[in-house]
Amino acid sequence: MASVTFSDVKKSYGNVEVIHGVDIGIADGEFVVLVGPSGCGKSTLLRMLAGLETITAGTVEIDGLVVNELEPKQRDIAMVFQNYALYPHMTVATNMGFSLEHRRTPKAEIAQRVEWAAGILGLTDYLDRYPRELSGGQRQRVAVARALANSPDLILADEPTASLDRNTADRLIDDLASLTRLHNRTLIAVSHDYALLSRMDRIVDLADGALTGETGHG
Amino acid sequence: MKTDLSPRMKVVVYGLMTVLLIPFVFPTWWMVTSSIKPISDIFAFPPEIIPSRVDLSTYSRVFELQPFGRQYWNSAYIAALVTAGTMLFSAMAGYAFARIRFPCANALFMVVLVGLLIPAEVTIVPLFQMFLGWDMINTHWPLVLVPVFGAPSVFATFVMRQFFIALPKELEEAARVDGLGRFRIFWTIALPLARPALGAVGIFTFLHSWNLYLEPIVFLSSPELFTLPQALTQFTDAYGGAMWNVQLAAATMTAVPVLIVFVIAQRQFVEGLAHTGLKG
Repeated sequence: MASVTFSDVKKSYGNVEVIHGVDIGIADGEFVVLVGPSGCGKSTLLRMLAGLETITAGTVEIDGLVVNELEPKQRDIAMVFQNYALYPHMTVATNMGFSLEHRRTPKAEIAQRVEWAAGILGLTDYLDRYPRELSGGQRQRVAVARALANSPDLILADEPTASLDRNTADRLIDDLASLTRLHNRTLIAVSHDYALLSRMDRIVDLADGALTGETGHG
Repeated sequence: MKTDLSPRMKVVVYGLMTVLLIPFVFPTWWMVTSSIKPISDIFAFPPEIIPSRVDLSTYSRVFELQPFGRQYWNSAYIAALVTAGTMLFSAMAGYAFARIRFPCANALFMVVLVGLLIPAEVTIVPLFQMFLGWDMINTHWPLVLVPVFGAPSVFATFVMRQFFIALPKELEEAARVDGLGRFRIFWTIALPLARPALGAVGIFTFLHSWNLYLEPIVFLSSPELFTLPQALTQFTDAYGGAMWNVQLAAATMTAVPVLIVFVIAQRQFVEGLAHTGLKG
């Protein structure tokens, strides 16, 4: 598990400030969603947490460690992208184990973790397939399974249900909710999906690059 | 796209396509058939489209008159080195221009593109002077170094850049989260996905190197170092007249690898150019 703290975080592109000093604290194992109108900066916040965007001012901490200058690989995170971002030239199993392979994890352990994550998300029969051979929902589940196989303490998800139909989205939300609870992960998502919002511990509202409110489901 | 044509239209379209095919197919047909004709039959009137007499000795004479096997090897290994080198360096340069933000990147790319506007004939004398200074005249080095690092690889760099620009950025971001650095992202993610563009670059680079004529005649003077296009001009009789049938036999053998490469890889070539937004 991991706690996250945004302290007076600002982001500017040139002279234009798009995030105006955001403070958010997220506890270990919390399931939090950032919501707000398009362009309010929620994805930018998530990307700053992931290390994919630089932070102009303020600090972002993961488990008390300031990560502003750390590369994504040094943050012990996994990210589920809106458009899946699966490597098209690799099979489902290779996609899921790619990060572990890169970190020189023993092959037996990679196979074990891939099987485990695939089992949880119902992908065991698809491990030898390529992403192009899967439906949108299956691809998104592979993206979640990839995140899970890496066993990070913190999972980030950018609009994880945006490209899915209602039934598939509901199933994915169930999976995400049970994964975070059963396997003790902290999950921070950006979403417009009301079904997802209702399953979260806390909803953080943003508008025009600033925090406007929070709602807890407890 | 599927189009339903009436039978009459089909006849018209296929007839027209057959007529249009003649200027493309006939020179190859004439080259191959003339290579097995006695020289007098090549100039017979009316022309013999299908040879009445076949003389295959022209093919063995090619190897008697020139160190043709050696010249074939020269062309093959130079084309292979140039193709591999251009694919590697143009992919790296194209990726850098498409994906890495550095000061004046666009201005620098413009400078690189200007290389396309300068004809090889303009740079050949300074290049000769340069390689003379490096003691590389009458060696194969200039034929490898100039295409890989010089103007001919600019188009390849352009093709690769256009491909990498279109590659979804999220794939690289996912790779960064997965722990990869810049070079590993290039090598394990971007490059394997660039196969269609690399295929196109490989084919046109191979063809360009295989057909190169100006540079070999400037840089090489020993027959055993000659490449094929240069060797083709050497099949002359004692009076300097062209031995047409022998020359065409050599030309036929020279064209074979080009045809093989194109037949095998034409789909990838077309796909690769489609990715760049260019038409072949």
